[in-house]
Formats: sequence, C-alpha cells, structure tokens
Amino acid sequence: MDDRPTALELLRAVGDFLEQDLLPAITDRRLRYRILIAGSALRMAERELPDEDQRLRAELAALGDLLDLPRAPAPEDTSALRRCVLEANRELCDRIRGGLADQGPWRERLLRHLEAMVEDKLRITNPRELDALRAEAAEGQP
Amino acid sequence: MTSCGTRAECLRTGLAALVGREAGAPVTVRDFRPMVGGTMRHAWKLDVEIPSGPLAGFHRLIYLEDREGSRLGSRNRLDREAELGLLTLLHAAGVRVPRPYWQIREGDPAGVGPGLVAERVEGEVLARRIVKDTAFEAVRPRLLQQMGEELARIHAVRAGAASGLPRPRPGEAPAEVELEQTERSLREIGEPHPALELGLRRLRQLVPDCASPVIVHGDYRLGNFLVDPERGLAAVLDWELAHLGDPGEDLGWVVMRFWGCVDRPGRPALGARERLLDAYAAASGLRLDFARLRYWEAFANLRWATVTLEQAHRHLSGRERSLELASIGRHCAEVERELLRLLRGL
Repeated sequence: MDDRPTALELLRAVGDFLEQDLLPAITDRRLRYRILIAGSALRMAERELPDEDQRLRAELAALGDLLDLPRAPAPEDTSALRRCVLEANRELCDRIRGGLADQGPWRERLLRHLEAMVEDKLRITNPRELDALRAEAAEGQP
Repeated sequence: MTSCGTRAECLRTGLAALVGREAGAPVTVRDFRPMVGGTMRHAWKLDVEIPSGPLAGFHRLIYLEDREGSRLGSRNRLDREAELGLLTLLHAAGVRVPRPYWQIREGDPAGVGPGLVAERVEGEVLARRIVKDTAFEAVRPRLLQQMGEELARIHAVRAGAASGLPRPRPGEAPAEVELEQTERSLREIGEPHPALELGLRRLRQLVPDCASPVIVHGDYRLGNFLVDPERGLAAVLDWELAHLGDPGEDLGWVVMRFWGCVDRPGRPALGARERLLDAYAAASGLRLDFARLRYWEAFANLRWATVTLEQAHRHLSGRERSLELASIGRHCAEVERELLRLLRGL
C-alpha cells in the first residue's frame, strides 16, 4: 500500500487546517486553547511516526547493553518491538528496585541511558523544551 | 425530573432555599451562573441578598459542586466535612482563604449538593496571565514574597487543631507517607518507568526526619493562587490535598520547574526562587538547607510525573475521555528530565 497522501501527510493536512483555518475563526478562549492542544498532539504524532521502529530498535539495543541481555535479533513488526522494549524496561525497573543502581559505575551508566532516552522523547513531544533544558544545563541550575 | 426547568434553574431554586434556611430569612438570588475552570468541581457564581438576621447584607458567594473523578490520582482527598473544618480553622487564623459558609451534604432537603458554599474572592488564577499580562505588572514583583509569607502563615497554624487531616503514623516520617502514595499510583498504572523507579528508590534512601509535621497544602502552586491586580495574592485555593507533613513538601512543590513560577535561565517568571524562600525563612524562622530543598524538589517532580501518567490513563481507560488528559501524559518526559537532573545531586 503506497497510496498518497500517506498517514503522515494526512496528519499534516489536519494540523494545518486546525491551526490556519479553524483557529482564526474561533473567539472562545477555552475552545482556542483546546484547538492548540489538538494541533500540538498532531505535530507530536507527525514527529513520532516516521522513525518509530528505528527508535524502538535503538532503545532495545541500548537496554540490551545496559542489562547485558543475550543478543537476539530484534523483531520486525512494530507491536512486537514495542513489547520487547516494554519487557526490557520492566527488567530494568526490577534491577533498580533490587538496588543494583544504588551506587557504582552501573548507576552512572543507567543515568546516562535514562538521560538519553528522555531527550529522545522530548525531541518528539516538545523539541522547544529540549532546547530550553539544554540552555539551562549550560547555565548551571542550582 | 422536577418542575423547576433547566438544571441551572433547579440549582438556583435549591440554593436559594438552602441559603434561606441557613440564614434564617428568605433570600433573593441576584446572580447565578457557571464559572469557567476547576478540574475537580463545577463552580457557580452565586450572589445573594439576605434581608435580615446575623448575615444580613449582600454576599458574593461561590457554589462548588462535587464531581466524580480524581485529580491527583490515588492521593487521599479530604472529604467535604474535613475541608470545611480546615478552611474555618485557616480563615480564623488569618490565612488568605475564602471564608467558608456551608457544607451541603448528599441528600440535602433543598435538593442540591453535595458541595460547598464559600465566599467568592475575585482575582486571576491562570498562571500565564499572572506571569505575563500587563494588568499584573504592578503586583508581580511582590508575589513571590507574598507566597513565601503566606506559606509560613499556613505552616504556623497549630497542626493539633486540624483534627480531620490525614497524618503520618507515630514514628513514620512524612516523606515515607508521600513516597508510599506515589508508589501505589505508579503500580496502579502498571507501566515500567525506570526514571521514576530510580527516583522512588533514591528518595526512599534519603527520607528526612520531620520532628513536628505542619499543615501542608499539598498543591501549593501557581494555578491555585487567586491574584488581584492591586493587592497581589488574594487567596490560596484547592485545599483538598491538605495533610500533616513536612514543610519542605510545599516549598519543593511551589518552586518546581513545571509551574513556571520562579525564574530559570532564559525563562524569566516572577523572580528568583530565593525571594520566596527568603520571605518564608524570615516569616517562619525555618530555612531548608540545600540538600533538603533539593530532596523535596525531586519528590515534587517524581509525584508530578506520576500524576501526568495517571491523568493520561484516566483518558486511556475510558473513565474520562478528554483531549487535555490525553496530551498531559506526554509531558511526563519534561518532568522526568528535571527529576534526573535533581537526582544527580542527591
């Protein structure tokens, strides 16, 4: 199936409609606010969809390293990938609860991993916020 | 269902009967209409004229109607009776809270409720407007100081007098209670969130002592402050999450990055956090050391991250379909980022 417009192009069209056509016609503050939220949700989906599998594979590989899991080929389809990432994150949570991250070099590895993951999430959910956070980090916050 | 017409008309008639009964005189309702905002309750503007008796005069009131659902998840919320008791105590102690009038129980003969009638304090609650609108330029420089002083006033109210509030068990540190509630929420959501797991684990190891718990507001932040363009802080709202706890809990919460209340590099807001902390210290005699404040700030982010997930799950479970609830779930990453930053220094 390669019909155009693609899912991504459809999302973009709806997003443009919300922000460029609908928003200027609305005066009710509450409704305007909700249209902005709807628009930003669509933009989020637009940023997320294109490389989703690639990101899941990268997360799975990073989790495999961190947890020292036996190497296995990553599944092909998205939902199976998602399940694998979820399971690996469950294992990670178990180890944190078990005290493995309380101190030592693994704690530092874990922190770096989590920081990288959260930045990946922010690139999708709120790229502007990511820039702001980096600027803050550069300035040195208390 | 009844002969009074629309729901608003029914409420208006019922409230007139209720106020008349409580005031001991037939009252005239001058204005009655729904107000915008509030996630937990429907708020109605209610102006009444009481012709005689001890309450004779014109009263600007608000009727807060109870609603199903929970805003901060499984955290224990005060029941209406405990909230009325707390507001009465705080109002008498000179804390800026709306004067409470009457609690309306389920099955009230006036046919309204359950809910609460209180004084209606005028002002703005929307954070964005308070931080940016020109209307608040004159009071803005004073706000952080006022917030600090008001918090000191709240924490100074005799905790022993607040009988209906949840409190730690003897020998239990307030932070343990808070962490336990947060963990329960996280387990109910049932998803693995390693950053939050790490926060939970670290904060458990560093639980601070608290010799004498105080009345903690529980959601002390921009958004729950009514601000008047001339007087500044006019009232502190939303006391449903009040409990006896560590004063640091409210301090860490109010300065949390997400609320946009205190300045951050490149993001000016109401001013430097020290302004609030200094005012609090001057008025209360208590200055949290760096590590203790950082502890509570990290806790604030841990709890708020958990709440964003809970809100998304309210939508996902179908309990309460809402675009806002759905989208707040994806704000979790920002809060996790801040939590990780704070954890590095703990």
